[in-house]
Amino acid sequence: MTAILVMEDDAATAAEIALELGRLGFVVEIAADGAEALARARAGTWQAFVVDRMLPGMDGLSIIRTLRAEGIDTPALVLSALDAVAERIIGLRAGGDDYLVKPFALGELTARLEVLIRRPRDVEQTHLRLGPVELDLVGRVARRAGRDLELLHREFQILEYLLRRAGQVVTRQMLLEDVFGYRFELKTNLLDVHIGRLRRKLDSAGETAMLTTIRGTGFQLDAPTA
Amino acid sequence: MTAQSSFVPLWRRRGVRWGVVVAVLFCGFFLAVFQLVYWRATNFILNSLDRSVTEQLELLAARPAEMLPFMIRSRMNGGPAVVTQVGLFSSSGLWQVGDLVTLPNTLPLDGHAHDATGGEAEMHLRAAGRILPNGQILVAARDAAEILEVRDDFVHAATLVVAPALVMSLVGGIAIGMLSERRLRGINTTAERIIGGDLTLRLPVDGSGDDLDRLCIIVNRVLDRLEAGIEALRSAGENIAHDLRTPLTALRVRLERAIIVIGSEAAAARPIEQAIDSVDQALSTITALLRIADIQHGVRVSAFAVLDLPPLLEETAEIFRPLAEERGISLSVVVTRTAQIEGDRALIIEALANLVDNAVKFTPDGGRVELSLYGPPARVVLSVADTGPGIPFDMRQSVLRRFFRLDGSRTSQGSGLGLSMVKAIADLHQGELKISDGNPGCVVQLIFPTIGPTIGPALD
Repeated sequence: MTAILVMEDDAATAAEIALELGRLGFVVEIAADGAEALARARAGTWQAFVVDRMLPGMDGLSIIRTLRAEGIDTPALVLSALDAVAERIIGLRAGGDDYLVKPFALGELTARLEVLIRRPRDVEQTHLRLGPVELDLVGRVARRAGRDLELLHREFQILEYLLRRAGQVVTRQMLLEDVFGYRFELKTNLLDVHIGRLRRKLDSAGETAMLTTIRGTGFQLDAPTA
Repeated sequence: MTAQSSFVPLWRRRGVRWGVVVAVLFCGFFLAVFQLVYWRATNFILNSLDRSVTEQLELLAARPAEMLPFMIRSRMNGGPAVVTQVGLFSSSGLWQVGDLVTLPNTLPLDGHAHDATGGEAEMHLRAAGRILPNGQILVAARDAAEILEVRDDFVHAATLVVAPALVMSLVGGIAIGMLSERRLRGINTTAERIIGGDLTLRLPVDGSGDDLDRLCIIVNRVLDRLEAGIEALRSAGENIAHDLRTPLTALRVRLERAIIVIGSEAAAARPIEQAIDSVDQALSTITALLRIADIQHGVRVSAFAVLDLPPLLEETAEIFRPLAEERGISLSVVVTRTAQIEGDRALIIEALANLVDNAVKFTPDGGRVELSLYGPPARVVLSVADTGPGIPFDMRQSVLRRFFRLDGSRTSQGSGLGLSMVKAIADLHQGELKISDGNPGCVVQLIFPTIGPTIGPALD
């Protein structure tokens, strides 16, 4: 089984990341300085990289750039204390696949990593399906067991986002950033209101709930198991 | 600020006022000198007139009375060179002999020279008269018209000189006044912008080395120090914020780990969750402060593009409408014009979201929030109006300060940085943030300069 390489020089943070990923069933290895990280990344086959932007010896972005130049396209999640939008763009341009600002919730890190590892298969699809739920992306129609859900524009987008990542935790931050385009904190329950409305339309009385809330982290859409 | 005060009535302008003051002083001085010279000149003429008149009178009066008529007559034959007129009158004032044929009736007969009128054409005279021992009256007089001529000459000369001098000093004074006023205005405008937050600006120095110039140089040196100090403080603050992130990251992941280990249902999980919340709160404050600093330093100008505002308003309303509807608040959009601005899309969206979020938060259930776009073509006003409690007039500047929160809102969520962020975003876009009364409620306006042609009714 392939492992995730965590390139992080802060021992405590690295250890906790490793523990959490381990708990979720991933195999994790840690590299604490830049040169070592690059050497190990080149040497093996990895499931994903978690790259701290500021590593002793060689900075994280240079490592990713070097790996990409060598044709290694293993998904990379960049961790950084720099959170200006410009920094994020620099991080993504260097070849990072996602950018997470420190400090982060462990749930945020693992959710994003899972999404990276299991990237949405075919983005060009015009039809998405999960159990009884069907999404017609061209006609903008969502149905559950033939029933038109009559979703508002934003609810449809949320459902599409969740459906493309079915079975994975989608964090609040991911939804706010990717569906709403909000890369800033809002201290209101804006997201909960939208999710609440979507849930009432999606899981009506008597139906198995498909949309669950993962406490403190986000939401998850699953096919009904029954 | 300066835009409203560009038209000032002429007489209220400092330069004009100084010009008039200089002109008046200058002309007053001129007139005083003229007056003095005139006074000295006429006095001199008057004295010589008086002397010749009294000498003539005394000369004749000293002669025996019986010789007087003869002497007077022989004087008269002396030709035109004789300018003093003499008349001998009876005690009752009847003319007896001489070329002065009427007795000036108001003349005091005391031997001294006085003003009088008489002679053929009621001329202005200086005359002296006395009563002779035999009762006859002897008067000597001279035409005083030359004094009037001198006075006329002086008035003429004064108008010739003073009028142009008045005009010249008025023009010169106003010009000097306006020049210094323009310089002061330049300094004032720059100072306003420095106060407005642009610490990179310096007061204009023209190298003349005058008082004003030296003062500007000193103020500029103070600004240099201030800017360096603030820059040092800022980078120190940012370094601290960055350096805080690493240990706080470790703290946060360990707290999370603790919950995982003891299980989220354990009694101890709750305080740990609260500790995580506290860490998050501290972090979001640091993050917001850093972002405000970033925005204030124009780091993001590179991300500027042409933005169409109406769709952004519609989108924000669409996103917030469910939140508003939960509380029976209507959220509407009124767009009366097209509006394109140059800006950072993500930041404008953030400013809008912040304002609408605030408006919805502070509006009581069942109230209204309205987003609108209006204003003249060159400047678009983006306004968010609510029917909440509003912001008291004296608090409207304070709410823009970092961490400021109205008393009533301390209990609700939020860092107190939202409006500072919006203000920073407005500043970055050369915009303005205005807070006013909605009667009831609060109206927050963002005013941006627009670009390109605008179509549609322009409502002011």
